[in-house]
Amino acid sequence: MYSEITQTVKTADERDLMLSEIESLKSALFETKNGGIENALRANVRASVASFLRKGMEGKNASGYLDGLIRELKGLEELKLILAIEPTENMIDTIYSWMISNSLGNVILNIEVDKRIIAGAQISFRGKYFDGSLSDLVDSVLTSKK
Amino acid sequence: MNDYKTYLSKLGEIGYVKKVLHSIAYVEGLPGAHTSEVVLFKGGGVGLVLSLGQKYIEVLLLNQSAIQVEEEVTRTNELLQVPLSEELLGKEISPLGKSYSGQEVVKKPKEMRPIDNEPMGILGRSEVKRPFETGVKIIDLIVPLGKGQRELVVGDRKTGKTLFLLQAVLSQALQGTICIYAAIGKRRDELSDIVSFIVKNKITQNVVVVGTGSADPAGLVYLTPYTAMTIAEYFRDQGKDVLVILDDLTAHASYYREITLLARRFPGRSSYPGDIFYLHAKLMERAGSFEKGSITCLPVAESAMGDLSGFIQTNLMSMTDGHIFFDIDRYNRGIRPAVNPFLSVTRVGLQAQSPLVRDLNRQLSSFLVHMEDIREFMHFGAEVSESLKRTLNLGMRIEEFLGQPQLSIVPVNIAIFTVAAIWSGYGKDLEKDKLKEAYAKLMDKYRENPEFKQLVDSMILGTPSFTELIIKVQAHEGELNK
Repeated sequence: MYSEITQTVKTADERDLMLSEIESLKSALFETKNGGIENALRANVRASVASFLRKGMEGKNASGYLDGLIRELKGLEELKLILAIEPTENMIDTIYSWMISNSLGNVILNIEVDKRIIAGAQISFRGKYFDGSLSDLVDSVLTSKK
Repeated sequence: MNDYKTYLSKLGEIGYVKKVLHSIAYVEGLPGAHTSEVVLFKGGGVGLVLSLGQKYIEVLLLNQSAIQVEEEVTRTNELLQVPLSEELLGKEISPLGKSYSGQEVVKKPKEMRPIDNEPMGILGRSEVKRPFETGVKIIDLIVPLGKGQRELVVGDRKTGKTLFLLQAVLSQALQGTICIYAAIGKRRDELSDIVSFIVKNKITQNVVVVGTGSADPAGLVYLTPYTAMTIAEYFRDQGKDVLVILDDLTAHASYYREITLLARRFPGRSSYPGDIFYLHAKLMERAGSFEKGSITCLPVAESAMGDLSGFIQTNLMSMTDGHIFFDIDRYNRGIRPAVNPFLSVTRVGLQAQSPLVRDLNRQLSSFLVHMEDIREFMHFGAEVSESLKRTLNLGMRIEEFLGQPQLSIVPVNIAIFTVAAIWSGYGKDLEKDKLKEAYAKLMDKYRENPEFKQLVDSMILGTPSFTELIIKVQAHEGELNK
């Protein structure tokens, strides 16, 4: 029911943005002035998301639909990725499609930037952790040289 | 124990704090975690896995560091262990085996032991057969203890329980026993009083204090008796006699109740969790008399308004080999120590005593009961015969003798000797207020005069019954009044 819309969310930042959009829609649900929900869809929601929402709410209880969507978004699993640089859109797309092709459905990226790791990445998912950073490699080399 | 980063890269498992409820943190992640495993927080916190849920792991927090939501956690694949060596003697430590400020106390540990050990099986155990001297006359003569006995010390607050325990520590430490004092959730000033007593009496080389304050996290307070018992087991395994004092287990039960209620365990009687009996019984079971060494355990329970029928108190009574009851009524009447000899019980203590002490115990106990009967009879204004007057006078002299200044200890031999002397008429013509002086003089003579000490010790050693002892003491009457 919600998969079409949740598949458009790739990162935790995007999820948070979508949640705030839905919250603003929910507060406009029972407004009679200022054009009600349609106006809120135009003014507060990104066009790409608004079209999905319009389609989704058609002929349904709008409030129930939005509550369900919030639950669905909050329930998305996160893969935490610490990088040394701010990732580009392309980079995010590549990583995300790798995740999807490896059957990690309903998962979004939670990206943090920490320059102290120098290069590479630190990854944690479902309680497992992998340190693939350059700083860790340097540390281990220095420790073994002592 | 290594640091957070080492464990993270070694085990490759991470979790995130999702909720913190006082002393419990709920952590998401750590798929390989198991119960009782130590976990480390990135910010320096230490925790213990309490239970594993479908979504969260329940972690008991063990130190004061502020845990934040979304803080990273890693597991260690280790149970909580304490470093053990002789370096512990004379130290005050927290249940984590470190100083209160978190510094390492044991620089070169000989051994690391998990604090939640299984009690030793029946094959390694032996009968309680050696006497345990507390230095408190009323205890050593009326409710005597044996090495390896588990004796509950129960009474209202401020009735002198801790003072008695310190007397027992002093008496035992002077005889070479290793004493472990577990101060559970005590106030800082109470803790420092205990330590200053130990330092003042120069017995630090035989004492370890495992202490937690009332401001410490509930998880840390909960661990105090376990660490104390683990240290005791370490010294026991070296063939030494150990005394463990658990002061007090009602506070321990309260802290455990706090933890389990926060963790939403189903509350039972008085809101205590269902496993509180198991928890204390398992702890008590770790003490005892063994083929090699012994662990004498004196757990403490605080009662309210002299009521011994509380849940924790009765639990502890049923899992120990007797109890010493500190009576608030006797305390208010000025009797020190306020031990009630009629409500105190020793189950295996008598079998560890010499035939003389057993005989004396029987006669003294029945005499004290007889005295109580006479006192009740006197309430009716009955006429007092000469023989009754003599009995009352003997009772008064015995009661004066059984009183003892706080924090002083009396060797059991001179106590037995003095009772025999009193029985044979010593001090019968003295006024009540002069009696204490006369008894003190006798004690001083025993301490200062080696010849007299030898006479008393050999007399006690070579006499099988109290009646014979009275005869021997009468023969040396002149010696008493010198």
